[in-house]
Amino acid sequence: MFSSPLWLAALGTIAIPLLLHFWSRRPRRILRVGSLRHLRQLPESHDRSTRLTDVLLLLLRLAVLLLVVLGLAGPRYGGAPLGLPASLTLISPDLPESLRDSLLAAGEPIRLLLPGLPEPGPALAHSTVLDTLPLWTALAQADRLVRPGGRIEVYAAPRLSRLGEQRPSLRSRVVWHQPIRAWETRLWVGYAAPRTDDSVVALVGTGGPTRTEYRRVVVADSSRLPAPATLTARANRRLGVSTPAEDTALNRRVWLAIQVVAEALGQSARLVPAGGEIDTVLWIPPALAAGDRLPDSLLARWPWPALGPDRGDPREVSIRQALPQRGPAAPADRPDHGRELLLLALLLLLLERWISSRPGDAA
Amino acid sequence: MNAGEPTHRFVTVRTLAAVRDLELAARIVVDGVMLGRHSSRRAGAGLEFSQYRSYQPGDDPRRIDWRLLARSDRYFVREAETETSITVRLLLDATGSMGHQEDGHTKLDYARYLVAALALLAQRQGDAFGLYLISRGGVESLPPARGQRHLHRLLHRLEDLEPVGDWPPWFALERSLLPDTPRGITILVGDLHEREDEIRTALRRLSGARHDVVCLRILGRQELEFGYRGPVTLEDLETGRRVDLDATMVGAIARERLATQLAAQRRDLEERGAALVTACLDQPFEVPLREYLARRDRFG
Repeated sequence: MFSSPLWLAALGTIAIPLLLHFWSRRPRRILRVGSLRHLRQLPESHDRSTRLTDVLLLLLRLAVLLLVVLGLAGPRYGGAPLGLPASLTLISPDLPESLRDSLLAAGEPIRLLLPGLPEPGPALAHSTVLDTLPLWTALAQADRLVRPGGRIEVYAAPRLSRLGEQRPSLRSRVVWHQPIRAWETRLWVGYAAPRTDDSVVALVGTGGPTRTEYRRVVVADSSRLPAPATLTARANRRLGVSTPAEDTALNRRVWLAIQVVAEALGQSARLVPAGGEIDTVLWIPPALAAGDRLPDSLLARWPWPALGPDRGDPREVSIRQALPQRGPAAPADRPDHGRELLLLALLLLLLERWISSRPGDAA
Repeated sequence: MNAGEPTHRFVTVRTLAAVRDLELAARIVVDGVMLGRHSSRRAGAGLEFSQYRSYQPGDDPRRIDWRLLARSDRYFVREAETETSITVRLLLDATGSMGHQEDGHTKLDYARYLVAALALLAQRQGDAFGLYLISRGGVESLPPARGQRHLHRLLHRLEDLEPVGDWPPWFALERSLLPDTPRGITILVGDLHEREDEIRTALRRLSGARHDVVCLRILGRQELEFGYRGPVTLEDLETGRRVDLDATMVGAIARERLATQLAAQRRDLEERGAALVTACLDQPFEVPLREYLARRDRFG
């Protein structure tokens, strides 16, 4: 890993000494002269040593160039990681708390996309957040909190990327995540939980270009849900579900809630093995996992689907699997060894100069 | 060159390249060298009639032509060519090394013009001159003689000369080269490149024959200064031997060695009374010709 990997593009300069070397190896000119008497005992041995020297010099020159380029790129290896984190996650305050909780539970260092990059705390007024969100300024701040060459993960709605400010020069790599990918999907499920009165309560979120709202919806049966005209959803939406513990009863309740809401939306729900890209994360907080017993009437109406043994158990979905797919973790920040390489390049350059300036082997 | 001197005194081989007629080329060279010098033939007492001139007080009365006095009633002195003519033997090295070429001109081209000019000079001064071509391991001679027709024969022989072979050993040259007249100049025109010391041996023998010996050594500028660059293959024109080297790298050594070799050769020749003049292919013919004239003037 390198501090300034752009310098690696300069590796093309290695072609220069190679080209010069092969150019000098082109067929020699034949010059007819009157006498070679004064060149006796000199030519062959001298020329042969010259060629050997040429190869040595070529290798030295290649090594010098390679070391200079690598030195400027700043390779990082060995040693203990330095103080700053290798990555930082920024999330928009108007995103669901369930997502925030998921990321926190995954051990991510999270800051809010607000001036000063505060850590997640009490909910903020959406209107305030959305009017004053300085995206690029926040990214510049975050860049100083991450080691050079690190990564900044941004979870924000697409509208954030349409801000007209000028993008600052960042040392870090910025990875965008858009939890709500399509604004035509206005309705999505925050969480769902059963109630003791044979009904299910669901947190239904509505996302839009300016704000996100949540509504508690108590579902006794499909006839009591909002009208399908206002509860549209995109087909084939993939919902990642994660539960805090291995709790079969809880899993069943979640599945039940999903089916209730899906049916209310005029959609069908099915279980697929974990993994792959998902659109929305459904995080079941532990507080909602109270062990209430599901009513038999609901369980009978929406039975637990059967999956083949080779397709995995959909109830065992870890938090990591439930999160959106992300690239490989940023490398742990290691000491930059560029200076050592540049020093070595200097030494090799001096050696090359010494060899090339050495007088010929006069016979 | 002084500002007042005419530029055509400095004729180079490049200048003469456009002149196809060797005799004309020789005249251009000689006229340039002789400009301002004393006229060629010397008139005075002798056997061969040269001209009449009016009697001047102080002239030997015995030289008055009495028959002409009887016819014209005027005093004329009969003049004849002086007895100062000598034999000039021109040895031309036409071995393979003379094929060394720079800027499109070979050493043999240069030597050809030089020998033609020397022959013309000799002819104008009433000297006998002969040509000895050394190549192919032997010598081809045109014995010394005087006159315009002999000059034409010599020039014709020079026309179709090609550099070939190497310098023969002395025993192959001895019979042809040893002069049979004690009074004369032997001029060797060539690059004096030798494998061992065969040329110096020949010159030592010629010096011992009481002839003045003058060596006009012709070298290429690149050859003299080793002005080659980069990786090259040098091929010996006489032996065909090849050497691969980096000319840039060995340039200093080559120059130093050649200078040492040339200095030793000069010392060796001068110890035996032979004069050595070195001319480069890009130099005018004046330098070697003036050296010849200086030598010629010693004979009066």
